[in-house]
Amino acid sequence: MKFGDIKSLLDFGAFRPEPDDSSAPWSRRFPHQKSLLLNIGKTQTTWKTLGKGGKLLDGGIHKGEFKDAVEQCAADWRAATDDGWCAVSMNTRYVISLENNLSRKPGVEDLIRTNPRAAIGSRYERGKRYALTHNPESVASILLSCEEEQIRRIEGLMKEAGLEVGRVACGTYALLVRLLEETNPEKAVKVQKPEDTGRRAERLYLVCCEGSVCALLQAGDLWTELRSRSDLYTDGAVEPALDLLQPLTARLDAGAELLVVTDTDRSPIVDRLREQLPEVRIEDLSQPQHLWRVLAEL
Amino acid sequence: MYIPKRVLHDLKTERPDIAPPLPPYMRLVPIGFYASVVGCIVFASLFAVQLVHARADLQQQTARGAEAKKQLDQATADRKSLEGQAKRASDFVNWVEGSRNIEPLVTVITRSIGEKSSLIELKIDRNADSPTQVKLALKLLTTDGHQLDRTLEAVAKEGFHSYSARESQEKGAISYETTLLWENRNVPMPVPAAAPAGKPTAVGK
Repeated sequence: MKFGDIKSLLDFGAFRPEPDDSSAPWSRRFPHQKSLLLNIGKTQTTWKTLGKGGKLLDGGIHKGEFKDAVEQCAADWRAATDDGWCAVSMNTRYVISLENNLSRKPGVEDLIRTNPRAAIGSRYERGKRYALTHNPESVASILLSCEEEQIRRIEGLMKEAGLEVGRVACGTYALLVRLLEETNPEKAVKVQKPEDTGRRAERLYLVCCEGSVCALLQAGDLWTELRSRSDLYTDGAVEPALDLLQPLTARLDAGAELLVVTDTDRSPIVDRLREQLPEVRIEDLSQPQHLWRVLAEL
Repeated sequence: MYIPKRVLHDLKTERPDIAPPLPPYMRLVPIGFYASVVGCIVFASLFAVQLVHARADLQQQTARGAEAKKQLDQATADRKSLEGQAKRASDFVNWVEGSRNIEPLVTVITRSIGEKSSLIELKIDRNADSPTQVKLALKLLTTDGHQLDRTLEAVAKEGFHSYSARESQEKGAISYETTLLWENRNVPMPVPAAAPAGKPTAVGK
């Protein structure tokens, strides 16, 4: 037994998950330490310091590529953390897709992190990393795939800057999954028949994060269509996002609901959708600092 | 539909040797350790306080012991003094009582002196180590040639036997020295008082 093991036993650190333990929530990994949350986009990088007890502290923004941001802000980032641990949200070079008939073996959602080939079989592509969320009421699953090269590049840059990467997540996917979890908290009481799901839908989930858009159409408890695109819009030019959503919004029933979550407090996309879809109940579930809270909580 | 909340996905490069956190019941180990440390500190403090008190008590008891010993020594000295005084008193009583038995001897000797004789000096000495022996020294001035014999007869009647006698004459005076032994074995001769050796018990002139 090493001295460090004894020390961690006596300061109760051995009873907390390790800082880079993917199976543990971020809040449990750093309950008494400051850590840094990074949101990496194509044209800018934003960050927020997570204080002790999960309190969000100061943040910042750097316009430009992530590499430049690391070079210029690494000292500030290190100073903002106790041990240099960061959680990264990346919003480029990823694909979110709706897949059917993926393996439903117990633990497959954790297995995909270490052995994606065993988890998704023929859909596996070399050089990519995956995350998976199943629809418990159907055979559909939401599959996130990211370029491994991009992740390694981020990890390398952070390591060179003296920072430790405790988590690399996709912000858009994280917001979508958390939105699905929060809006589907109970057992299903109504199961839609498959033949009814072809054209019309009752609910559209929309996630906008750092210029990326992901929309999921749900009919009853079934996910029928998903459209996702990264680096699609800016706050001044939301038309591409609206164009992407148009085929989905066209299939919404009158009285259907559109649940929106964005990484900003008030997105112009929501205002434009309210104008375009007066018959649809649009509910903006975004909260202040929504992305940071999602990253910091779980 | 129910989608349970799960830990946020993670795409980072996994470290292979990540150990899971220890189970909660293992918290008993550090808790027990800290409880032991606290217990040790508490008990050590208690023992230290008790040690200080014990040292103070010991010092106090030592002082009281010394005081008691001093009082005991004083009492012992007083007792010895009293015993010495009592012994001296007892010895004095014994001496008085012992000397009282010599008085008949002196009386007999004195009465045996005839008209033609005079007793110039009479010295009777009895040693405490041998109380049955009485050293008798007398000096007679007489013209009677039988005076000494009468005196010695009178002494013999009192139960004394002369031993190692020595007689000398000088200018008409007869000096006679002898050791008288108490002959009556049935009646123990009283023990004389502790008079200094060589000091005459009774002296007459």
